[in-house]
Amino acid sequence: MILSALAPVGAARAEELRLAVSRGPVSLPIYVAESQGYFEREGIAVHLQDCTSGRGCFQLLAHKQTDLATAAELLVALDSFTGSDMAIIATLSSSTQVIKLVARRSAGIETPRGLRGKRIATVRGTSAQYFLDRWLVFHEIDPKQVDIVPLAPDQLVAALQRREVDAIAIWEPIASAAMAALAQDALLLPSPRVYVQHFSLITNRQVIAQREADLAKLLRALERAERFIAAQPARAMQILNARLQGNDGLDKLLEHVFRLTLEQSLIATMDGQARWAIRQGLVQNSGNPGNLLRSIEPSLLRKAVPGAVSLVQ
Amino acid sequence: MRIRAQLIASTVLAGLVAILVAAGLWYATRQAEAGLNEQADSEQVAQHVANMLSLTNEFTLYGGERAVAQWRSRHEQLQAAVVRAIERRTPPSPALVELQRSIGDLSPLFDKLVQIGRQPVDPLAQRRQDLLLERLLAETQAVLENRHRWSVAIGQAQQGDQRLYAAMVLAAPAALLLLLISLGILVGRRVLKPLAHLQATVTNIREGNLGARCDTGARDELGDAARAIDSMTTTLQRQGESLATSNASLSREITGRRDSEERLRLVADNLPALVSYLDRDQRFRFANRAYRDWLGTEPDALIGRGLAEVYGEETYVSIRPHMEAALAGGTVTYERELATPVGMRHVQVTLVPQRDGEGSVQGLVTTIQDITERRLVEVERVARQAELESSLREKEILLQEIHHRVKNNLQVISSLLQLQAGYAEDDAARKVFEESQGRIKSMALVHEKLYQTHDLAHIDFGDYLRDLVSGLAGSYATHAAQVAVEVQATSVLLDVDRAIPCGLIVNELVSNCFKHGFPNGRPGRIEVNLSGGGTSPIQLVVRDDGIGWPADFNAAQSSSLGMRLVQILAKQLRGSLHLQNASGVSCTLTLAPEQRPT
Repeated sequence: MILSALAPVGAARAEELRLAVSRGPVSLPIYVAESQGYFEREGIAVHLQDCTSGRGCFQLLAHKQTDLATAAELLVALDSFTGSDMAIIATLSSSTQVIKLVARRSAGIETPRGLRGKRIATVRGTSAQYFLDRWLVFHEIDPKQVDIVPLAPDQLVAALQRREVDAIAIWEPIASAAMAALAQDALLLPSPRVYVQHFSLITNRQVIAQREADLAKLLRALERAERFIAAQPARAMQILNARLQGNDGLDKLLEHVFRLTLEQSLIATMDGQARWAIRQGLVQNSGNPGNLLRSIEPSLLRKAVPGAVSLVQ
Repeated sequence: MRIRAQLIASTVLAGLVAILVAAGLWYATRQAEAGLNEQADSEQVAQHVANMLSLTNEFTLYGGERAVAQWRSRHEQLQAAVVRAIERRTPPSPALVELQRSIGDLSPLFDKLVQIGRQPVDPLAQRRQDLLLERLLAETQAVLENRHRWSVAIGQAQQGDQRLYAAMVLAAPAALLLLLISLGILVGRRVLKPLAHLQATVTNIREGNLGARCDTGARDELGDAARAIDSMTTTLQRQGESLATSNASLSREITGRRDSEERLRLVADNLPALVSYLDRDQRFRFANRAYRDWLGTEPDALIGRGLAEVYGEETYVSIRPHMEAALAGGTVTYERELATPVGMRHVQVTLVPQRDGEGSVQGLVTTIQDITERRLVEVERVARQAELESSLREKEILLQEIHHRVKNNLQVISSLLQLQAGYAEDDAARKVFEESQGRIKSMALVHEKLYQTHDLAHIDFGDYLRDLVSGLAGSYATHAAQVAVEVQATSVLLDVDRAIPCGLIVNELVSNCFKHGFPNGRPGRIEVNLSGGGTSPIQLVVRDDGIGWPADFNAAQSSSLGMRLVQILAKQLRGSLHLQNASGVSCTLTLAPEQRPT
């Protein structure tokens, strides 16, 4: 109430900003900003919409059922082939650990090479599949040598438990749920930084045009939340556990870099993803990907958080 | 709070502020230097990363051991530079830690890339090379991004240090100024203001206003001093009031003493004597007017002069022992001749020492009285007394002689009566002569005792009784050989007027006892007792254990001369006579005490 009282007078009349949030530690800055009242302090009303995955959030945005969505950069890269006006306005967090490969020991898997010829389930057309593909190549395993089983996110743990698959490649918190479900049978395979996921804040050009000021406020609130996480990681972890009804320790936070940025590596990653998507036949394009810079809008972040944008345009 | 404590606290505070400012400036300077060094490290890191990117491209395009070696050398230098930077700033910034981590990620990727070689053997190897190259470039890019953030952090830290330095530079004089102002206010309020009040009060008191007070409630040194001054002033005021009272009392006392002194001088001047006061050096400190009258010397002219100077050396030598005796503490009185203008006078000198509170003699009060006339009267009186004594002696001798002659005459009469008795033929007549002879003897014995006494007027009747009764016992020895006589008598003085009748009464009674109490050689005892005297009644008892009076004998109506004499003499003596006839005869004569002129 006190924080609300500090909000500008016009805040109460502001139009609500709908934000579809992918459930997971990657969205921690949004949870913190909400719990700490940073949105109200910035004078914006934000309505959070929970999604089980980034792809679900992105679909809400695609169907205009939300103004903003949190999702991995891969979805924007793939969507760019459709000519949509989706744009990343900031990266919320980056991580090489958010997607994990969990195998069953009972399937005879002890090392990365043990995945050869195994059935590996993942969510098709997502960063998880992209991660799996790169992971296999890095470990000198031809993706054709494994049986990729496409499943929905909520089917993966059960499939692994039922031994329908030998391993799964999936993001948190589903990976941790799988580890818990398999217990002693679980094997977490090492992740050699083959993919840096840029979990991003995505909107469309229409929203950018209409709600530019609100989006800048939103970015400032999120930047403040990330400073809170850096300064008070224990309290941030409490907020996360409360939100996800989990009981994770601080080490979970170390898997992520919570920094509101737009870096050059983002466009490089998206470029690689676009080429991978073409190669995998995930998109209808036979040539080279287009200019993905159009799928990134750095002006808002540059204005809201000076120095946060190192992307070259 | 005490001023001393406040000043110490202020000094300590000033010292702390100075130390704090110095420490702050030193810290800011150190941080600025560290920031500059860190910035240099950051630029060096950027240079290394740029070179590594170039070498990565060169290796990708052309391969070759040199590029690999150089890349690895650069990587080592890069890591060393970051380690140095981390060691330089504790704790290191998060950006620097992340930079170190990202640099560490480069080496495995590059090593795997080198393993694949420049020409992949199959499509998987080609994809793997692409992947590794992409990751290497992305990670190198991440290193650059982290280097950039580190640089930004360095800039921010430098800005912070600069702000701290600026704040220190501004805060130092401001803090010192504030401290000086505070100290000034403290000194003004706690020291100067109370001091001015104290000074004003003291000035007021100095000008005589002893009612002035500091009246402060301050619990500090000046408050204590003010209270001490107030207390001192109160004491002074009380002492002043007491002094005024004492002055008035002293003034009255001085006036009284002056009056007393004047009265004393008046008295002394009018005394018929020389009165003076001599100090321990025997110099005059006071002399009354009589000195002028007697010696023709003004009293004031004597003051300060010594005795030898006033009376002459010869006189002084003669009186000096008296003076020294008096100065030793004794009151001295002596007489001497004093030469005066009117001639030689006989004087009595009295020296009375005057002592101080501790008993030491401070001087002498001398009184010289002219006793010339008195001395003459005394001489005349002595001469007259001598004459009187001579006359008295002559009269006493004469009286003694009279008594002696009376006694002799009475003895002559007694002898005549004895001779006459020898010629009497009748026993009764002889008996009358003998009885008369006894009576004359008793009277002669009185006169004998009288002229033997010193005053010739009284005799010791007890002594008289023993001689009288002894004489009677001797006279009646033939008639009453078996009768014992005992006299118990105290010393009772009787004049001649009472002694003679009493002697006659005893003579009659004892003679009767011998004559009638013990017939026919009857043994027995006669007792004569005399008691009393002085202021007590005199009791004379004559008792025997003889046959007693006959039954029909009435002593009061007896016709015998003896008993009639007893009755008459007792009446003459105004005494009471008590006769008892039981186991002998007992006669008791009681006389009133002698009435002596007072």
